[in-house]
Amino acid sequence: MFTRAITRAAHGVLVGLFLATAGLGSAQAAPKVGGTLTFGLPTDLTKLDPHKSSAFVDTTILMHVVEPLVTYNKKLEIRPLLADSWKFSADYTSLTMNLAKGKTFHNGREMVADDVVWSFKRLLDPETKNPKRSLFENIAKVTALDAHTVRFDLAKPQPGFLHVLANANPIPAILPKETVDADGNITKLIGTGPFQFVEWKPTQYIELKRYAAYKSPAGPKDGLSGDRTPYIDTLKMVPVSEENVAVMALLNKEIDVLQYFPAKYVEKYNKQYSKQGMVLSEVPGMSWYQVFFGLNKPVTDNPDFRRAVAYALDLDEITRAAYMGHALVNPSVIPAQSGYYTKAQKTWVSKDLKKAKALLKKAGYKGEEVVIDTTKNYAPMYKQAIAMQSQMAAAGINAKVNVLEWPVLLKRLYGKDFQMLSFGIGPKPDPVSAYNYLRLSSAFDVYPEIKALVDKADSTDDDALRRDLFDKIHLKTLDTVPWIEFYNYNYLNAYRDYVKGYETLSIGLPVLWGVWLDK
Amino acid sequence: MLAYFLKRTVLMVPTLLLVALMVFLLVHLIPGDPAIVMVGAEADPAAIENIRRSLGLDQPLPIQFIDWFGRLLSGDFGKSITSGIPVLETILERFPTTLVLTTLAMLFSVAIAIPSGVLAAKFRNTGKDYLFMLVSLIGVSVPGFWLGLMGLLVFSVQLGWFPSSGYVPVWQDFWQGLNYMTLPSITLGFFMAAVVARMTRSSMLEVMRLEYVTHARAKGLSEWTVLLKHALKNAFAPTLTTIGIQYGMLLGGAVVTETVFGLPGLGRFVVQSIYGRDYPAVQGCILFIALVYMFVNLAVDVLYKVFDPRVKF
Repeated sequence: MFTRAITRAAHGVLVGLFLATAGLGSAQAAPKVGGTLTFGLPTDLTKLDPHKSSAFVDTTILMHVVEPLVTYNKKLEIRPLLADSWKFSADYTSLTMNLAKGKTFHNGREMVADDVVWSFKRLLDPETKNPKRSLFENIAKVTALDAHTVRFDLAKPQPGFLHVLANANPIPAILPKETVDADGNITKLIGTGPFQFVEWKPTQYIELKRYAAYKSPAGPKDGLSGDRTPYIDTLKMVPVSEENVAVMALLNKEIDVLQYFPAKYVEKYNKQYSKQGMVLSEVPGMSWYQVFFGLNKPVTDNPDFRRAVAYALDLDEITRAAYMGHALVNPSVIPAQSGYYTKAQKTWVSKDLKKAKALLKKAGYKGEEVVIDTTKNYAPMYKQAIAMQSQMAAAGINAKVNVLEWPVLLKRLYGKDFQMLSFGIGPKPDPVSAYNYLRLSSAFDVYPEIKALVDKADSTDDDALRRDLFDKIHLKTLDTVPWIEFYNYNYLNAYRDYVKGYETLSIGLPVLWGVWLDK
Repeated sequence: MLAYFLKRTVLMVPTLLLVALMVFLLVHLIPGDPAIVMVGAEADPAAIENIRRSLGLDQPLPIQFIDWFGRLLSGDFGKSITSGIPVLETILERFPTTLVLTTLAMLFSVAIAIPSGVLAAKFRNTGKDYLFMLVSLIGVSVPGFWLGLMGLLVFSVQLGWFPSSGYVPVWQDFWQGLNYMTLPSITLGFFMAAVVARMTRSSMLEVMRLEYVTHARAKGLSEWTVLLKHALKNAFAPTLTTIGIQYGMLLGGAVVTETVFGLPGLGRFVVQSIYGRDYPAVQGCILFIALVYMFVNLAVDVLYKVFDPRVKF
């Protein structure tokens, strides 16, 4: 075991930053107000109600209409949004927040503390059926102290509570009561964001318009924080689910920005599209892919077998197979952009077939079939499974790839009914939430010491201590191998050269305020 | 004729009942849990259980069927699990798009397939015949997905004649709507044309061997009159059946074409609902499609008499 220097990661970050900055450079000119920007989405909006949604695509759209109390800057630090300032009690069981004054909803009414109370009451109501309600269930009570002050009482100490309030998916949005109809549904979304909701024609488009009376937080644009002034008059977000058609639509200027540019077209972009007024940006992302081991299933319940698999796999090759080089190898749950990404987090085993074979012998492995469940609904999950199968075969492991439909794969994951499961997930800026997601592997049941370390990290705001705890967790997983992390993929976005100021954040969200059209 | 029409309509009721039962059972037999699909990979078990309860998925299957079927009898197809919108509302919103697409595709295919089939038959075993049949063979063999993409590449990206994405209903703006529908209709119609052309050719060849055609020729009628006035009319009955079957199938959703061109049709809705394990949506759509299919078949059977007077009802 030794430390792997992940040079590819650093190189990728630099390339990504360069490409992303190339798109931003021209944003220095004075922005122009007006015009219509058509934004190509991979899928349609699933729910217009931010309190009921759990789909990432919904956040992409709705974050331009609604706002939470606090948000993230580029470094994923907490910054003010609807709340100006805040103060925790000494024991982290209550948080008092001062709301920004003069913030208005799109119906013209000022946003006040009662709206915060009402919004959290709705979000926490089981009848609202938010799939991720548990994220917020430490909130015991929300009280309006006066028109612009609100207090959150927590059931147990939670120093990381601000991350809950800054959560991007679902957005704990502050909404006015007036946005809900008599049946408790939202058909006309009203928020405080830079853009106003106009119309949603399912499978065709979502139309937003510039909120002229928008009052932006102070400071320069920084991630989701700072200057959020909208310049585009009309934002039309259209789902173009077929990726080849999406590229054609961008070439035809039927769409101005394409959220996900297919990696297979990068070569074509370099040779041809870059000369046709198309700009490509590649941003290192925080979404991550991995394989889970079934710790309760025969063969994979043996730690020596799992360690053997770790020695059989070459993470570089798996990453290349899955993402054609547009991803950063990362054996940690913590992305390279995080302040918690230490040298220890880069530690993993290097491919060593001799060690793998020795461990298989120690595990008493006799060629039993080991099933890797995966799906073709998300191509990288399938591609990495195929790469794993071939590398495991070289070590003498009889692995079979079992392709399932997405709903069936999800059911197996929740039921912990798998030997190996090839998977991936969206960004988790806070490592605690990343580790909590990995509980699906049953690692917390089999290795309670990992859960204890996660809980301890969740109960402190001491960064140095948290860093140390996360390092300990990673090194523990190096020994127990309940999962193997592979990579974080880059976000490839393409847009027309007259689109200025456009950027995608490392958490995968495209920011459309501050964007303007130079045509 | 009226008695036949009524009899067939009444017979649809038990067929639909059977379809309803089969659809319900089949949909529920597919592995996967709608509640889990709804919440994705990061939900807590309590939320999943809450959603399952609110959707009635915690009830035994017979109870779920009685509940769904009871509401169905009063015209209530239920609400989509994914969107919460009434299923019938979505079907009625999406079906016109599929109807327009399929009808335009059918018109296009008939316009090129019937003349092609007749000409291929007239010039049988010559270079012209081989050319027509080669084109139709390509039409049958080429995947719709690939043909759609190639169509977009040539006519949209290179020539700029048609848009590559977006949609405007023809009833909202006829000419703009037609502009959006032309390429998808041709793509879809190409496959249908190939099937119909082959059927027309073989029916024509069969009919042209019959004595009445020889008799018509012996009367001194021109070859075109014999072909179009005498042979085609009789040869058209089996072709009509093929058109009817194809049309009915496509009305159920031209999934591939709708997906490539991003059209908000019924086919895409069915597929999305299957992926999302949206039981009420899948059940409602399949029942609706079955109903449409039955009516198309009935229409074809009634039209049969027009082309074949021997048919008695």
